[in-house]
Amino acid sequence: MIFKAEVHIMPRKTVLDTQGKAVEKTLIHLGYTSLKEANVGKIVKIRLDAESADSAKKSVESMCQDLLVNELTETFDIIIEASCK
Amino acid sequence: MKTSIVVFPGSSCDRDIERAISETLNTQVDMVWHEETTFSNDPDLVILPGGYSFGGYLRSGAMAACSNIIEAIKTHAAKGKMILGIANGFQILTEAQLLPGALIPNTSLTFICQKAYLRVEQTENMFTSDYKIGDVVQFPIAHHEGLYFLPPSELKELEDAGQVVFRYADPVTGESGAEYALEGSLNGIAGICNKKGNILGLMPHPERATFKHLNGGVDGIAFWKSIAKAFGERGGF
Amino acid sequence: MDFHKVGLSDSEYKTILEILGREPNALELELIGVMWSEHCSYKSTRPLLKTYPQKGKHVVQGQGENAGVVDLGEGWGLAFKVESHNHPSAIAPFHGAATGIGGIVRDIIAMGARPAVSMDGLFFGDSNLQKTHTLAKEVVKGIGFYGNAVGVPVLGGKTFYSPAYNGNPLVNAFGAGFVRLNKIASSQTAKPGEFAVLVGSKTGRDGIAGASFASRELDENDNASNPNIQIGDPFEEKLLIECCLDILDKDLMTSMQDMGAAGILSSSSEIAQKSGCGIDIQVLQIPLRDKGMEPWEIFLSESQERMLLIVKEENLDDVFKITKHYDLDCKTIGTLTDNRRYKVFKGDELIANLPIDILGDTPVKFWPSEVPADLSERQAIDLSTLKTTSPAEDILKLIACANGNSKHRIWEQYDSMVQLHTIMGPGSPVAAVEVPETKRACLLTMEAEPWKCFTDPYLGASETMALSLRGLWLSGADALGMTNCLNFASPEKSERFYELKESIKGLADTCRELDCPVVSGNVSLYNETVSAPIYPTPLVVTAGLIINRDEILKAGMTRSGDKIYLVGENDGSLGATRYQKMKNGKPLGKTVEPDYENEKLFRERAIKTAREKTANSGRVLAGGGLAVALANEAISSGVGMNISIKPQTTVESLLFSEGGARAIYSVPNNKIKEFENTWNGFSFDCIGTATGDSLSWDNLFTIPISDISKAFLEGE
Repeated sequence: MIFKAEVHIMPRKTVLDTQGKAVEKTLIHLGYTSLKEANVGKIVKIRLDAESADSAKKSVESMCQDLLVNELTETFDIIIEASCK
Repeated sequence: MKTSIVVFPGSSCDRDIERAISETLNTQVDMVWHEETTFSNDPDLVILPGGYSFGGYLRSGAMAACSNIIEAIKTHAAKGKMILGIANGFQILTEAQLLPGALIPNTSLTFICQKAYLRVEQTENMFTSDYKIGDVVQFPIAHHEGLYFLPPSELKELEDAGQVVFRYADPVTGESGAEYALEGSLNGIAGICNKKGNILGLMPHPERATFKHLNGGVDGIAFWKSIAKAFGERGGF
Repeated sequence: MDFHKVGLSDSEYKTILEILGREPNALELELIGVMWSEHCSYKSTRPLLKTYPQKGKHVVQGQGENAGVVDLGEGWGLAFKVESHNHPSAIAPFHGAATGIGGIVRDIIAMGARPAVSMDGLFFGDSNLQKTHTLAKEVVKGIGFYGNAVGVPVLGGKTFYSPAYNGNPLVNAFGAGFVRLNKIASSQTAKPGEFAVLVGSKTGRDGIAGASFASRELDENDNASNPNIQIGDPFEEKLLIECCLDILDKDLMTSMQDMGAAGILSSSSEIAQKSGCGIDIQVLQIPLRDKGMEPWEIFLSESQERMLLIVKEENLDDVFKITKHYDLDCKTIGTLTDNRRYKVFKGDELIANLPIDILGDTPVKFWPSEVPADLSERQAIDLSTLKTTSPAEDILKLIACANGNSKHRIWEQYDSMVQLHTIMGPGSPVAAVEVPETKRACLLTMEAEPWKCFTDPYLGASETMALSLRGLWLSGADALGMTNCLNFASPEKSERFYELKESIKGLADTCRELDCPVVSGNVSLYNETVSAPIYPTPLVVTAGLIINRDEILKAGMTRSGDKIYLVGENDGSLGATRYQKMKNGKPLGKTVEPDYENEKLFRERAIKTAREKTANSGRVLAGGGLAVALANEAISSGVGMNISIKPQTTVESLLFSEGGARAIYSVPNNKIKEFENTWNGFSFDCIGTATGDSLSWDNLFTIPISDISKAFLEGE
């Protein structure tokens, strides 16, 4: 079965998120004074073949550890859904 | 002495380093493609060059750290032989966990190409033994992801273990620290080694300070000579 | 299908019917329409460009190839060219500028050269507008993103701000590479029976009809939405560089062409036509990125990072092996024929069948030319409005202004040292790079003088060219050749065409008189928005050679105690100078008339001065005149100067006039006699001494060099 996965990668709270800070500053400059915080991360979209949603998630987790994420500086979330195609 | 320079797709300083060490070291140089699984010439020194391996996409050095040759590099490291990573090469070494820490985007969010002054902080390794602690050298920097990061407790361990080899410094006073790091590196760290002292990674480019007729200065010459001396004193491996 | 939609005029369409003897089908009409567009055909400028001097003893390859090549000696050549990416950069500053670098790099590869140098001519709008800074920031980021990743150092450039570029910024990318003279590749050496091989990225819908897009004026709402902009991938480009050079080095290809405007169509038709062949192309063989692309889209796509190689059958396997090594897509898409026809097949079906010459021998267009009605107004200058009440204040303003201050914030974002051959990089008036494996150095100057071209296109262009030469001569180099980017407004307007025609004439005359052939170039027209045209902006890059790199005379090397000399006349013209513009708010007045005999006297002496090392430092007079040259020399050397020289006309003219063969030198005391002997027969004057930490001028002013330095580094 084909699954769609999205890996949401964000800088760790302990790491200076320079892009987030820059976005934050600019938005406030534009008048969005209610803004409390902005963080910039990245999304990796993956389509993969797996037996079940669980095994798809396991497989994507392993991808994160092997390549997609540097756990020293980043955290990640995985969202899995069955692909209609 | 035998040297292997690993070439990744997107490496751009491989030929520069080849020229710099051919000029300054009595060494035979092999260029090794990243898809190789072994070093055929049993090198004493392996160099990972600067550039944009795999386009610098995802994270600098992340994909290169998954290349075939990395296993051979780890074997080489385990034998206690020398590994030098410059700029992208340093990033690859951290991604491959041969050195601690990570290199993340400069606080300016821009690429920075400038001359940089470094204080030699440590000489108990296989690369800087010909220097004195406190020497200030100029190697140019050219990077977009050069901010050295390590969580606080590990950073303390690194400092306590004396693994910081180069720190950004003021050229006049020789004082080093975070305030002299243009990209915002923690503790002003420009280069570190592993505990054994056989692996060195640094963001600045010593090869760009090797030819007197070029515009990068000549402080790199002493760096290469120091490697040769360390190697000679050990009488090889 | 309506031929107007592909940009053809009634008379052009009539010509097409005559050539074909039938109506073209829709695909054929698209192909012809693009190849006949201004961007691909240069129909408005071809007759003018023919007036350039093209031959010279150093020219190995002149106009007509992907780039020109000049002889650097010891078996090496320099392939170089400058190209515009104005329209894409106006619409999408980051990607437009980035792909501009990609394009020029491929032009250099196509000559068989390893790309070794890049420089950028950037013309932005009003420096007081936030919009300008936002755009400039993106352009600079785009150039850095691409150039840094492909590993080609930026050695310098030109950045100019003026409201004339508010709606239409200019991004001119210069590229140069070193090539072994016996390894030069060509797009004219394909033979029937050989295969056309496409290497690099898959073809997608990006940049479709970019060529015709660049052949018209920008709509005011063009930046709202344009799906056509190309996206660059410097990683793919870097692999393409290594791959093509590898294939070339192993003698596995016979011809090569990069894919720029009108992608597969222009590259394949040019290579076939210039080689005297025909070509059959199989459209189903072309690897696609987007689904459902029509043949015309495939042929016109401007997807980046693609090259067309011509390969003999027996070499195909080896070529495929090398492309696989670099992980690049590679596909045989066609065959060269001897029938001089451009045929496109879709499977067995022949879907286009044109005589090859209809795509290559495009018509020329003659536009009426008329002296601009306001030209005399532009040339009128009222000297009484140019009085200085405080020279010190004016000098600091000229140094701090957007066109005078340091551009380090830009060039520090570019890798200027990769490839380990930069002798003089950004920040120097002249760029210098070592010639591989030799003691030689190749020097480069990039110049543009939009204000002077606006008030007098002929004189302005002439002064631009002469300025680029003087910089080389002063450094000690012989000029080898020039490349130019002609940025102008619509040629369809007679006053704009006049400016174009006169500028080209100014460049051509100066190049001819001063022995500098034109080896390559690019024309970008229709640079205007409904509100205004840009200034006439011819940009030149001139290449020079020094046999012994230790003989380069640099700027910023003045030592305390040196005598300061002014060579050349005390006065140039105040017309269209940085000072005049500052005082009047707009450029007015003509620059100097060319004096070629004087330039030649200057050339001979300047080169001798460098070679005999009779000066420590030198600098030609440019923007801001004598005062700004001295100020810049003082801060870059870190030493003050005591200057004493009386005006022959006015103080303003002495301090700030520009134009003509003039320079300052710093001469050590033990070389004074030799220096003066060298300059015998030319106007020269010892005007002061390097000393202290201020720039002082008789009783006119004293400015601490720390103040000048602050103005220079921090700007307004």
